[in-house]
Amino acid sequence: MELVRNFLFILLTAALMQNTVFARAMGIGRETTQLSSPEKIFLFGGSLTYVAFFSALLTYPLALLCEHFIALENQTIARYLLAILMICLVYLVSWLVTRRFLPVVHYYIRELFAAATFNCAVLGTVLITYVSNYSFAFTLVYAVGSGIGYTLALLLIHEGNRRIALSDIPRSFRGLPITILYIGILSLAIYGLIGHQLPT
Amino acid sequence: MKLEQLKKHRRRSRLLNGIFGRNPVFVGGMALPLVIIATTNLKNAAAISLLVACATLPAVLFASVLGQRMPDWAAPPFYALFTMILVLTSVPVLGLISPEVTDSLGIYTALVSVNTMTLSLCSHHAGDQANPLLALIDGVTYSIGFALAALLVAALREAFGTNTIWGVPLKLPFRIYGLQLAYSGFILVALLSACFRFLRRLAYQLLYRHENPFSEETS
Repeated sequence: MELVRNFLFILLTAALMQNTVFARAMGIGRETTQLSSPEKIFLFGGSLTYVAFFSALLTYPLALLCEHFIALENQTIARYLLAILMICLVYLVSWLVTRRFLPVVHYYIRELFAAATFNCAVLGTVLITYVSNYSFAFTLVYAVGSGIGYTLALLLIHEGNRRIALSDIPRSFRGLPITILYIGILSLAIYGLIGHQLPT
Repeated sequence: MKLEQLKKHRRRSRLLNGIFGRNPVFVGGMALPLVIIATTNLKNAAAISLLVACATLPAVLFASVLGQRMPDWAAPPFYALFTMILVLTSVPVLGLISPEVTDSLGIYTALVSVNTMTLSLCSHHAGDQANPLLALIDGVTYSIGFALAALLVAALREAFGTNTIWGVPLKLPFRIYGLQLAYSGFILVALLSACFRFLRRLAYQLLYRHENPFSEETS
């Protein structure tokens, strides 16, 4: 029971309290904030969650192995290289497998998969789990929670964009500036929940 | 309606677009995490700008020279890995700015390798019409544009948030503590982005009015 409670706590922390978009500004840009429909957002968020989960799954045991063989002063570099290598591996295997065996899935993900994979949110999630010294299970739960939180954030931004489009916005603020301002106000609300700035 | 001056200006400014007209942060909305979170002071902003420049220039040059020989599915992971190697080899240079800046930046040092500005420039210049000279110019101007954005945001946040500039104390009548937090990064970038758009539009309007002084549209 306590394990389930801890898992839920980590999941909620990753999704809400340490939301990758509102608390750490990771994974936002013109492409992601202007996704035109909830279906595309779910596809993008789902791809990102998938890559984050499997990258964390592969990186954790290899990082533990590296700690035994690599000097302390080089471990940060090794960790960064390992994380990006595993992300690239997950991307390549997924791309090639779906292209060969799951053409329908490949058809839907082909436009968004690269953007969903090579994203600050994925690499950032993998690195945060290591820096936070989570266990293997908690690392995976954090990766999933982070992806869910990212998807929820994009849905919130999409809904906000829809309402903003119905308002009379000054010309200079239309598009990107008003979207970032909106995200900033939501970030202020999340800060009110957390109460402190998260470490980099 | 005469548009020759405007068209001439647009052709000439194509080379310098990355700095102002198509600033990657304020106009393009690229590399936002690096500007919003990492720029709490000028040293951090200088360090992150240096890393972005060291990663972007070789990567874009490589993409323009050899990018068209790479299959489409292999390009994104290759550029991300290549950029990470460039970032990690450039980290020792940050010691010139300050010894503790690498710790201060934390994981955002590694996030430079997957920033949208570098990856989109690489994919743009890897096409069949690739021109290494244009790629180099774009790499330089976009890096300068990013540095301009990062340093501007950092200067404002440090001056009014901690009343210092590059660690040197300033005598200002007030201090806004919230400027050091994430949400103020978002709000500052949004306001500066709107300001950039306004100035860009004003520049085009002035150019148009100079060429068409008695046009009905300008009255």
